[in-house]
Amino acid sequence: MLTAIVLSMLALAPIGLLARYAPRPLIGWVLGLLPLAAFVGFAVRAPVVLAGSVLIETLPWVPEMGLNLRFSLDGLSLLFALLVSGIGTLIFIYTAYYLAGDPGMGRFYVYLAIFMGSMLGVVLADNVLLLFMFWELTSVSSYLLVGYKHDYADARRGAQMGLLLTVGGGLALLVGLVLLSNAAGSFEISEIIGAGEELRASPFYTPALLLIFLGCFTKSAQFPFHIWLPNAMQAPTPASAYLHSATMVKAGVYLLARLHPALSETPLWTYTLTVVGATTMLVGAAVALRKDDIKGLLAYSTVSLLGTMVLMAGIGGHDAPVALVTLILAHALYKGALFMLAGAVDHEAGTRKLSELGGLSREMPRTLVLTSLAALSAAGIPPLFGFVAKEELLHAVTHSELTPGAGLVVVGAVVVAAVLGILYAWRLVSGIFFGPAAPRKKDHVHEAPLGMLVAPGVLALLSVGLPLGLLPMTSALLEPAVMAITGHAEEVSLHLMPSALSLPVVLSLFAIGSGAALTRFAGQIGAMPSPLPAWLNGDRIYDAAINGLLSSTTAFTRAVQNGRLRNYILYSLLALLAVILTPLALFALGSAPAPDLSNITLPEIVTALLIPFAVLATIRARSRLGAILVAGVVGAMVSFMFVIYSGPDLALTQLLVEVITTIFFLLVFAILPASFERLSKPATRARDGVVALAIGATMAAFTWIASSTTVFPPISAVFKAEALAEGKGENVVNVILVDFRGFDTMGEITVLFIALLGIYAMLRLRPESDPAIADMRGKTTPDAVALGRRGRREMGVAGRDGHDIGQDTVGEPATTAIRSQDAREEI
Amino acid sequence: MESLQIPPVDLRLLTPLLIVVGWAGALLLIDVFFVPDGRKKITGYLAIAGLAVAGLAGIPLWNLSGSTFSGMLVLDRYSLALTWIFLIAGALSIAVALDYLPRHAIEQGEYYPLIMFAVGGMILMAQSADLITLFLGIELLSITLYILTGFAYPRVASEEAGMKYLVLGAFAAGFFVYGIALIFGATGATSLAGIAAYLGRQPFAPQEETLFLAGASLVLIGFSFKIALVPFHMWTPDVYEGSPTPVAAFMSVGTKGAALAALLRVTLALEEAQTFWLPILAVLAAATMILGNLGALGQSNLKRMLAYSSIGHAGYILLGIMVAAERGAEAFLFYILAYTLTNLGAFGVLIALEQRGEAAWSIDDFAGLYQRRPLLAVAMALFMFSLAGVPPTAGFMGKFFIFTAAYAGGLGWLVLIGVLTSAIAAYYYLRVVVKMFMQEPVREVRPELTRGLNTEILIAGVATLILGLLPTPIVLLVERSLVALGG
Repeated sequence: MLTAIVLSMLALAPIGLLARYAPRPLIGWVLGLLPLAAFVGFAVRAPVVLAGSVLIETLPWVPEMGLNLRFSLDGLSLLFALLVSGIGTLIFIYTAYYLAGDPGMGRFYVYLAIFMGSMLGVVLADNVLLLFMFWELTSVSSYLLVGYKHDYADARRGAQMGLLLTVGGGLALLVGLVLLSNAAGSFEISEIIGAGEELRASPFYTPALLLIFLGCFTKSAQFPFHIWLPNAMQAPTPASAYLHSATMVKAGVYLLARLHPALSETPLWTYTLTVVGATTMLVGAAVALRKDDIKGLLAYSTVSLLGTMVLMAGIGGHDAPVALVTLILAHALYKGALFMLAGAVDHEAGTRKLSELGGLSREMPRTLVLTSLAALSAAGIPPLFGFVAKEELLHAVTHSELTPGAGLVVVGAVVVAAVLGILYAWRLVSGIFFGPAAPRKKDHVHEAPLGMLVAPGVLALLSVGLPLGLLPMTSALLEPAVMAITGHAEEVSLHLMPSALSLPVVLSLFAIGSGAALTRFAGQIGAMPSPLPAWLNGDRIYDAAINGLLSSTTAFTRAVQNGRLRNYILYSLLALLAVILTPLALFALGSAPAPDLSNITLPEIVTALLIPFAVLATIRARSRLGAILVAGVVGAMVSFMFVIYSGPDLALTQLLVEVITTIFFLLVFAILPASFERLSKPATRARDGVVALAIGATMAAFTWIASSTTVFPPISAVFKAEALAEGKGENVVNVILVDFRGFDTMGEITVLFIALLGIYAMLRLRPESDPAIADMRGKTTPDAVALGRRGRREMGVAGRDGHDIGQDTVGEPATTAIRSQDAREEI
Repeated sequence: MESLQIPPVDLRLLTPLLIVVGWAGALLLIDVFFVPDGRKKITGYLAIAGLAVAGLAGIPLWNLSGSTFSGMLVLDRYSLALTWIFLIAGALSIAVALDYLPRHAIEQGEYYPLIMFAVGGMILMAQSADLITLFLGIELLSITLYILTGFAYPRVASEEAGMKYLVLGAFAAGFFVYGIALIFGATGATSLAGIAAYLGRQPFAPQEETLFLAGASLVLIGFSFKIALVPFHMWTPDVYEGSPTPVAAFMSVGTKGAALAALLRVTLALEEAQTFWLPILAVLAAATMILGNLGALGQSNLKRMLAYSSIGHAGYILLGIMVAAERGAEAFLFYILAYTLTNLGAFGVLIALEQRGEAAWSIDDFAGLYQRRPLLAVAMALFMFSLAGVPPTAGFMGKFFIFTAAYAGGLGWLVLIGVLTSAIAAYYYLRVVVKMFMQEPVREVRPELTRGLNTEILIAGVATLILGLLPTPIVLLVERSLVALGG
């Protein structure tokens, strides 16, 4: 059933395309049935879960990698599943009004459904790999939603940052989860949770935990990774309300809560989460106060709340889990509503900047009422649900398991954040609806359509309704969720009115009082210059880091990959020396056997000495013709070597090859300039010479060693013995060619013949008018030279004239400028 | 003394190879004599048909195994699985070229048989159990690729690419052959089995094996050039950028895949010498993963970026080869398949954007693609996610298999580098996605989707998804295909 809900949500996503054919508000109500069905599906199962049992379904998927479709529904999952599908239903309805008339609405619904399916997958998965897959799928699908239509010009930088941080964080999470699973011996989350003792003692605990933290912090926008969330606010408002406040950003919090029973109660866990959570809470609240953009304000207030939740996951104590789940519920209700209402204001007034709004209370009275309700809840004013949550929060921090000093700091931080929360809630409401009206962006601002207010209305009214009458039911819903976090049964009883005047109540009253007193100065506080130096800004640091990495790698690549074949060969040869000589040096080779030098004769010495001499001459030759001719000497000497070692057939072959290559050289060089030009500096030539000598020496050394090792008898004896008997011939070479190696010979002849045919075809089929042919047939040489130059210029192999291949380089290549300069504006 | 005997030859074992090469030869003639200019697509379709026939002919061989030509060529399920992968790669590369060639006015019928010969070379490499036949396969593949790289004559970049590839390729070939000679001098064998037997006769003592070490290193360097392992990778970006895009696509998966497949066999044969062999591979793998991905980071030319990315991926695949004796070989096969399909898909999208006379390879040309061609953009996003290793795509599964196999095989530090470089890689892959989805078009690029291209992108996209969502059947197939290797 759980499997069916998640998968059908993904599989049925394409029906969202129906909206393309009728982009009218009604379609939202029709498509809303999809998430509603999921909501009902979970609600039906709620009683069983609330009674304390856990539903588990397993279906093998890729058993080879330990990946199973294993879903479980316990209290925590149920809470999230209900939120995801319930708010999802409202968002579906809201979207139809928000995007009414937009031809792309169908796509939007498809992505929304995919997102919802994957979010449900995250909160229901009971297999770490499955969880990870859905986790990444939420990143990807959220991206499709963000990219649907960008409201900001500066959209892509933010979106890129968001995707990069969450996908990168996801990678860290994967490694962390796999380490954890290795330590626990299972990929199933329920079993990992059961192995808490072992895990905390395992050497993998610290790395795994840190990696998981990284994943959770990036997803849940914790300081200093929070920068992506405000940047993602360019998404259409339904997506912001759904993903960036009610559901997706809570995935990190969810995972921390999920793993809480197994991994918590170590100093690493407690203090990392406390410090990160508290910092995020304060930074978010402080920045929210200064934001002019409504969505920006809401985004930072979300960051602040997410920090608070992480703090609750960290501090420990009996009450923290209760506060955590209450906050999750309260925040989803009021922040979802606020986002949607902000969207409505934006939709009607054409702007969402506080400085361009104001005095809308007359035009949009209904919106005002709903916004006020939600904002009061956000500010933690009784008798709204936000107040209940804040009570629990203060209760939790005053009863934490932190050291007294740290506890005191945290209490102070929470109170400050609460005061700031009241201030920004006030700024929001007063800035939109009261005060002097700024010049309107649109001519006739009027109330949002009723249907658009349905979804935020439901959420806002729940913020009122839950504390006024539904608290016992809410407690019953939250109780199994708390149980899942702590790992043992807990009793939860939320109450609106405190029974006694305890410390939390005093703190709460203090916060409300000071907040109310400060509201008069909210404007001034918001306008104060930032106390932080300009460089200490997440966006800037992120940019600098990315820029630094990009420019350094680009510079490096540009230096190495400069397009010059000469350099490529140089680097390759150096690398070759390293690869060959390192192992030889490392393994401290025994002395190679010395070859027998006693019976070397004079002709051998002369021949051998002539070869390096000819090589040197080839390099030094000024004219092309000279170079070819001396190069021919090398070949001739090699052939002569074969003669000395009585291999006339080899000598003959070698000679033939030499002659043919020389002729080819001459043919080709006929269309090149007659003499070389020196283009490289003497130092460069010296360097190249050293490398060449090193390579040559290495190769020669290997030949030396090879010639002194004989591991098997030479085959010549067999041939000599068998030639007459088997081949009926006295000339051994002949017998080898036509008998022993008859097939080889036939193959060689065939190859030669085909090559001949090819050459003939090429020469014949070239058009007569081709000047190259004409030149080769003995026309004027100067033309030929000119042609050669032109040809090379056309081919791009020589940027400067006379830059030629044999001598120096392939020149300034056309393809090699690494055009990465402009890549920098990408960030 | 008994008379010299011609060793028995069982041509059945080479059926796909013979079909591909034979068909290619025949097709050359058919193309010249029967296919009129301007309708060279017919040759292309015939070539695809030939590859398909070869693939079908391979099916009955699944339960057959054996060696022929004195053990120089073998047929086992490993080689057969690779054969199919190569046939798919070849067919897809032809499919994308059907309209590419005429659009760029370089339509010549020879393109298609040349691709077939290259595929033949790859199959030969997969079936080689001897360094000599392996070299034969490499050269058959390389020489056709030298021609194909310069196929866009008279485009300067294409000529230059062909030239660079040829010169460096010749170096590589020289090293490879010299390496074979030295190995032969040391062990008296060129067959992998013979070398393994030589190494196995007594505990491996590197200090007494100078010649063997030198030979093996040279052979490895030859491989490194073909696979484009850092620091022997330098030709790759220039050559990919210069060559016609379908050829670059083919090279990025073909040469690499075949050379890696052969390297895996060689690595298994050198098991006794792993104290010497694995550290070199480890260093090469680390350098390849790091520099390949860092190189891609700064690129704004997508073709070059894909070139660097293909270098980086070779590094990951190398991890699988290093632990081939354990589960690495399976991971290797899966990764090769996933990478082949994904990369061909990405190149397919690139080709769709390319128009005659101008190359739309700048990342800016992808800006706003989502608004104009949502499906094409989604497909490209899928390929980018797969290359980056984001689930639920083939690339994720491949990376997961490779990394877990390498981790289990004790290569923890290499896995760490792999994961870190994957994070870096995510940046440049996702940047493309951002461009497509988030930005307004910078200039007018009208993607042209033709039938061949559509089919190719569709196949690649669906396969990338299916391999990511339902990898089990393929994993089972891969597992079964390694019975013969003892993996």
